[in-house]
Amino acid sequence: MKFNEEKIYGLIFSLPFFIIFIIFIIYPLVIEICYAFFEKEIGGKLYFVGLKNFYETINSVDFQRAVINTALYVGVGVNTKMLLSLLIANFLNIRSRFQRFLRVLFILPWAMATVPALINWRWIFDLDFGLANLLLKYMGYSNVNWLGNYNTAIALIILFHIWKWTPLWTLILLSGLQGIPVNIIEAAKIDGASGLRIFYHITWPLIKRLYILLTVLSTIWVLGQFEVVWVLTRGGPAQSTHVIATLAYRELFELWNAGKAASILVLVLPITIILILFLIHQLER
Amino acid sequence: MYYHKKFRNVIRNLLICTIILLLSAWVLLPLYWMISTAVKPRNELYTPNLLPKEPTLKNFISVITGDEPSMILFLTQLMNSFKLAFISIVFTMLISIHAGYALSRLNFPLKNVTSRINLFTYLIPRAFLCIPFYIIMSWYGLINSLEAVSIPVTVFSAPYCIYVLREHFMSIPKEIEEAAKVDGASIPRILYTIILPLSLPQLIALTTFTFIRAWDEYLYVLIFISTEERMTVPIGLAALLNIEAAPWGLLMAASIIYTIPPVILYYMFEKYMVKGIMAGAIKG
Repeated sequence: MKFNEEKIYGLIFSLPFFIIFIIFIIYPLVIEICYAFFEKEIGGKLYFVGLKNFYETINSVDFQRAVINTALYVGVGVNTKMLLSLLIANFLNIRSRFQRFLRVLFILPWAMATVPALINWRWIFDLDFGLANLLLKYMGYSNVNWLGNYNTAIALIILFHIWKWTPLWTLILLSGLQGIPVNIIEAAKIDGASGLRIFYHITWPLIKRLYILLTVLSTIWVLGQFEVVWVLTRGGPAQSTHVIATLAYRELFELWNAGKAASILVLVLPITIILILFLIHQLER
Repeated sequence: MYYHKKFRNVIRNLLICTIILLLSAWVLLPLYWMISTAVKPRNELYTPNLLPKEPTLKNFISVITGDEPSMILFLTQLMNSFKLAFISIVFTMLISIHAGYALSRLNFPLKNVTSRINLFTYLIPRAFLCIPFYIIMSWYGLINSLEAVSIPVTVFSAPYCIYVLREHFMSIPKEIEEAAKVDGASIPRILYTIILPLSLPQLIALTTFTFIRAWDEYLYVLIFISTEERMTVPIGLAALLNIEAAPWGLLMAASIIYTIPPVILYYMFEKYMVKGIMAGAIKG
């Protein structure tokens, strides 16, 4: 009996997590995929409608816009954030006396609760009394309806993302940079290499893998971003700033169309799963 | 040559100063606006100026005592936030201590699968499951309770805790356990009486991690909870944005109060918050 103890307790100890995974990850995913093929009648009966939901979703302007917005969010937001993080992390790694600055001041946006920060963002860009328009007025310009225009609204959504989450990725990249042995860099310095060349020939090759993996990770999470868009614009003006998650939410909770809501998420699932499997493969080798 | 070098140093220092100043302004300006709004009396809000002329704590007092109609429920919702955090912490820690130990020390079938599953759960965007979650919860009539919200919070914060605990348990020397095993101690006994006391800092840090996750939860509370008395603070505050003429002074005061606990916790446990999943990637 004794020799089996490890196996038995191993299974018992990981069982709760296993059950949770099946009930709360696999089962919902199955339900979601099934629902995408059904439509709900007013009476509450489900009807199988084949690919109709997908067809309607793909052809709807709102969905196409949401895909474009999500792509913008990832393409511009995530990449700007990661580049900025890399720059700042490098700066702090070289000038280590400013690291205290990072740990005290710079992590504040990240440490704040998200929704209060978003409410503040909305107040800053308030049409009549916000800080942004106040500053514009001081400089002699007229008011801008920041959250009422598509272009400025989507820019502010992305800007908030950069503001809030740059510190997190900076810290991760910084801990990656600190893993590089100091003597390599010292040796290069003695040989007279400039800062840029040190970065290009030594730091970047060593940090590249981490940087790419972090970018993929951030991309996956941003695909499911919800509260930034929902609190700032609720998808407005005229449903133009929706991303995938907010559009699905609206479809279910404002239009009560569960099938279509599910189809929106199911359409983005393949690319998400591919990215996730890529990361798992990379991390578990 | 000498002057040339000195000149270069001046330029470099100027550049560094500019970078630091820009970064500080970028971080602090929004926060400054938040605080200055919170301490402005109501009539100053709508005559825009950068500095509050007569700073007052009236907004904070109104939020806490609830003497403004929009803030009546603030304290109730604050208690709800604590309640949600507490339930989530209990669930998360129970699950992740055991799974983390199994993954680090015990050889059992499906071990590799479990660790991959753990990564998968960590990576999948939470919002992608919100629609089936809502459907399932309404089938079983679990809508409109904080216990229901604590389930997704647990599901999505456990993987990180499992990962960090696994790494930590692996770093504890095996000899400590071997001695106890020779004395005939069972595996649960080893875990509870030897390993856990050695992991106190990690457990505290992960408790705060889960606390912050629950504190910050927005989507699942929004989906599950429909009565105002059961909402947590983020949803209650965000709902005030949609009424005509939002009470900005009160909103900012409430936001500041709500954001103080996580900020303190971040300062205390920052190094544990960025550890974990990516540690493996840093090495190679």
